Amino acid sequence: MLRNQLDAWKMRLAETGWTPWLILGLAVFLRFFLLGIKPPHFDEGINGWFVDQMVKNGFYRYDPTNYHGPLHFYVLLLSQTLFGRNVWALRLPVVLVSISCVWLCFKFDLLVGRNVARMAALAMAVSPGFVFYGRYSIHEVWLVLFSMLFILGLLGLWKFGTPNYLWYAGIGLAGMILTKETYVIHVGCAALAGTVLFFSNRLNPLPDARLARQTWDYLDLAFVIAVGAFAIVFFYSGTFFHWSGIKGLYQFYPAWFATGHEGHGHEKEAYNLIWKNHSWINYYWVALMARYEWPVLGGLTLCVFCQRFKNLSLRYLAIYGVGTLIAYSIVNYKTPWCIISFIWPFLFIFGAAMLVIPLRYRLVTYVASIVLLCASLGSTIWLNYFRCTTDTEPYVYVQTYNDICKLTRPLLQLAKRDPRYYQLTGHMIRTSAYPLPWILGDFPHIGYYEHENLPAKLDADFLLVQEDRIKEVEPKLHGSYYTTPLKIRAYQDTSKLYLSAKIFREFFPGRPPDFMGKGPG
Amino acid sequence: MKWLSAGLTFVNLSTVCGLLLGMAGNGLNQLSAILSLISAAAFALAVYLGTSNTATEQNISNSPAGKFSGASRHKRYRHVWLWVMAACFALFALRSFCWLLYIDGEQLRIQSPNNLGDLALHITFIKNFANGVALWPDNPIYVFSKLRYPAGMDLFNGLLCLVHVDLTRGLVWTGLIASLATFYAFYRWAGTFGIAGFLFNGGIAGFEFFETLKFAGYQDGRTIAWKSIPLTMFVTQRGLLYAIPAGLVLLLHWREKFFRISAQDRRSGPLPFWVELSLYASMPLFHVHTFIALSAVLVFLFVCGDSAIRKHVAILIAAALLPAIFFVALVSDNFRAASMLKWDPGWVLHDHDMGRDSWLEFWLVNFGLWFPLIFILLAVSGARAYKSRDYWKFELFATIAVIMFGLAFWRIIVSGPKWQPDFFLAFGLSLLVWSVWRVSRAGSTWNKKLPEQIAFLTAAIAIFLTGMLFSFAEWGWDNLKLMIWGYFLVLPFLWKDLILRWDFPIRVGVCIALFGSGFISLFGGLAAGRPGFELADRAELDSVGAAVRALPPESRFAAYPTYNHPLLLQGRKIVLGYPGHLWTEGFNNYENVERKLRELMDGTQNWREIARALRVRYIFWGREEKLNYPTSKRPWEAAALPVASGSWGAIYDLENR
Repeated sequence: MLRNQLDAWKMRLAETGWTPWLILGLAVFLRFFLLGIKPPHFDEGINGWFVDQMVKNGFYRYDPTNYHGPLHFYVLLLSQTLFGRNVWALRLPVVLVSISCVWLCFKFDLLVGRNVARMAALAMAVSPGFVFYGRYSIHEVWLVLFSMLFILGLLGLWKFGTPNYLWYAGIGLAGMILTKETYVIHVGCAALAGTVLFFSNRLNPLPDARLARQTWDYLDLAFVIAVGAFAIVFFYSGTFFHWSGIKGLYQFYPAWFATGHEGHGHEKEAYNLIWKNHSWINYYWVALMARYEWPVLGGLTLCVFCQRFKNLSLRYLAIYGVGTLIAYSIVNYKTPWCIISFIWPFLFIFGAAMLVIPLRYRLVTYVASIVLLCASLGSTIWLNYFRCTTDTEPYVYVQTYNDICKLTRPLLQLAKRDPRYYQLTGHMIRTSAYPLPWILGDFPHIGYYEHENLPAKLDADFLLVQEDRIKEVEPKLHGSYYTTPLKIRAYQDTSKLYLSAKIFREFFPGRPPDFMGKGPG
Repeated sequence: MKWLSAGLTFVNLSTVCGLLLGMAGNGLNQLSAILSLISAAAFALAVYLGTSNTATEQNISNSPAGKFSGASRHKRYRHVWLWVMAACFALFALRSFCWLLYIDGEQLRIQSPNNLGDLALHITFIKNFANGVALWPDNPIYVFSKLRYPAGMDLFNGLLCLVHVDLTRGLVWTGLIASLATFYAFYRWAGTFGIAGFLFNGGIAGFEFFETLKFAGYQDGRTIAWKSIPLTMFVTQRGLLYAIPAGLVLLLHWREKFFRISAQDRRSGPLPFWVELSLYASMPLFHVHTFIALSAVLVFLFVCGDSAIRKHVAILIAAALLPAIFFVALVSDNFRAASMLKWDPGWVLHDHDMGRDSWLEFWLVNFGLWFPLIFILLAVSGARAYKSRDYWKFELFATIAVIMFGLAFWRIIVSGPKWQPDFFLAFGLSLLVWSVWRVSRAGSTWNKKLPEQIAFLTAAIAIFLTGMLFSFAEWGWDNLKLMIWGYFLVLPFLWKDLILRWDFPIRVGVCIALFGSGFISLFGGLAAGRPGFELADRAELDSVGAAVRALPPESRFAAYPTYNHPLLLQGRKIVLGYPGHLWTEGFNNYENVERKLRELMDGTQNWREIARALRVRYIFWGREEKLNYPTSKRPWEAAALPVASGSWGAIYDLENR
């Protein structure tokens, strides 16, 4: 019986072909391997904190000034409930979504050809950006998945007109709306790309430009709209507990446009070209591609020859890709993880290199493709497993340092051994302590003192004091502490960590406390 | 089906193995837990490979879910209602189990207002098993008894705790996986209609919504008997997490094997025999009422079946007899809990809270359109059987006659002749005579079987009437644990044989009438309980946990009897638990123990003798005790050794001075 089962599995595997499985396996390995190697990012800490609020409130209170849709938080809530408060649980959903994006590349095979789809999938599987941000619990990976699904749906409707593509487009659009307000850019660019493609087709007609007979009907459309609308209302209304959240669907625009325009500290003016004040000529994204994403850069370069593509889907992807790149360049608010939202079409163009490069250069094209992919893989390994918290890497942005383990490791070890340690008292006397509020969310006696305020009783089991407030704090301490400098992340003042000698002695064997307070009283 | 039967076998056999290893080893430990889980996983793999999916798949078209097909255009969306039900089920399960038990600052909280006492009791059992007490354990909430509860699911969670699965994670995982299993089992048993029947059971109470325009748990009030099954039973009674999917799998198996697979293929029913046997025989360990219901179904399959069915049923019952008796003896404190079984006709019709002035009002408010429809179904099924001449089977009528005669005779002996038992005695006797006369004229019906709906519907009626006539627990409402099986049995036939034959608009109207109230009450009930209810203070609970860690798990504490006492939440045995729990476990005469406990805690002169009589080793003096025994003299503070103390209170050892 067991043998029959094994034979059946073997046969099924053989029928499927091993290449996609190999690519998916590589994607899985690169995304899962040492997933907890870097401490939670600032944004992951914020997302985790939102999840904690959901546990207390029973729903996610959508805030239009937060610029993030609710879906990711609900998925994180489920993951944290199932697997507990740890980095793996926080990142697992996004890792799975990132792997799904690679899988979705294969679904483009009917539109762009099997080899092109597989090359794109391979390039995505080994891309430093897709791997690096696919191992972060942030919203962008969801946006990649849903925007890919949306475009797949649009192209499929044009070419085949079947109901399943209507579903892809509908779910893709609803998913984007549920993920991040930047869906507006993608939808706008998708529409503009259609117009541009129309003129492009006039200049250089495509053989497959005719719209296919649409086999879906109004019933299909009604179901797609109903499901999408229900999902949007369900999540934005805080699962029907917070109806005013739905208003956020339009209230976010003013805040979002303001942030997009002003940049809020995330402008990359150093990359402005020619006129420093006209930031839309900004090559930040191209610089990132040049640094990490060579296959993407190759794809972008090939977009110059997009008129030579005789495949409608590829030409559309090239136009759409360049359009979104321009749009994201215009927006002043630039965080590096946004790059994965718009570079994925270039992977298909990279995969289609053979279609535009003359046949006499076939060998050179193959070799160049392999070299680019190998370089990409090498860069991925270097970035993700050796330099994932190194500030000089442009992808490493507002990343928390391993320094925080000086506090979290002994504290969590104690609490795991004896849950009474969850009752330890801690004072975080510094600004922006994220991701600590999430990591230490099960410790109910930790106070966060961001501004000028201080706790009534300063002595605690542990303290984290910002450099400029040490002079204010130390004279008021009575106990003895082990101390060490601790920096949460770049662009922050270093803090001084105080660990009570009474509690943490076992972690400093043979070492006397560094700081002795005034003594009792 | 393969996954479902394998998963159920995993839970079943890991629990049974854990029990046996725990009994042999004088308590569970990490090694026995690992052994149990690994051996159960091996059995589950065997079940996965041995379960026949084809046997069930070829018949899925017979499931009510398969009848939705219409024009080709609509074919794509023929499962739309299934998806709607899946979404509703997911909402229910995620809301109920993700917030089952959670940390909120200094507190452990729960979401469900129905679960406050129940979950605390289950945590007591789980921790008690995980503490390594000798199996079958003493009752942690009553000093003079063994554990009197079908705590199979708690034993399973105890095993998970022993392999270092966090208690909350274990509860959430089992809840969500059981929800998935229940959803699929209902789908296979009764299609989409069955899923809706489970989720949205109800009458007309929920239609109060049209007056208030507010979603609320209208059916969960004190005055309604037919409460929301998912909210008030599935989430709170952890045994049902296993019993409902396992029971439905057995029903499905019997229906396929006895009625839908041709006679020559009958050997190859969906489940291998040993799986069928293990699921059935071990059911008392998880849920006694489900075991009774399944046994009733088997009896009626025996009566209504042909010789092949009878042979199979007889072998199954004979093989299950000893293990089932063993498990029943365990969970009933060596049958002492049998005292809860009483003749109590009328169910809760005369209950102070749930009863109504007229029986018509009671049935209408609680069940709405359900009973009229079920009566129509019975009439229609009976008429169809009569027309097809399938109805005649000596054994069925004779069985009904004998049961009726026996019951009436017993009632006359117990309470003397009255017109009701006299009537039923005469009626039963007449039916028996008529049956004998028919068989003498028409010949034997020994090798004929009745249609499946007759077999299952008669079992449903029998289960329902049993719940109406007997009380299986001190609280009459608890009879629903049995009576829900009558309801589950009716669901597929009500849809397939009645409602599906009506026009689409009528079907829609009927479904709204049947499920509207339950829908409102379910989602209203899920919305209730924000921001949750405090179950325990984490600091106190963890401190008490650390204090008692070194103390022997078998020792008993004197403490104030409340459901969320930190000692109980750490799985420790106390003299007396929460009175509500004692009552539902059939301890009626605990007042004497309660009085003695109070004397002890008040520190009366003979406190030491009382402590000895109550088998108390430790006295716990904490927050609840200070609050509830304010005049206590606390003589143990001078006479006994404090083994632990802290801001939470102190523990005094009466055996060490």
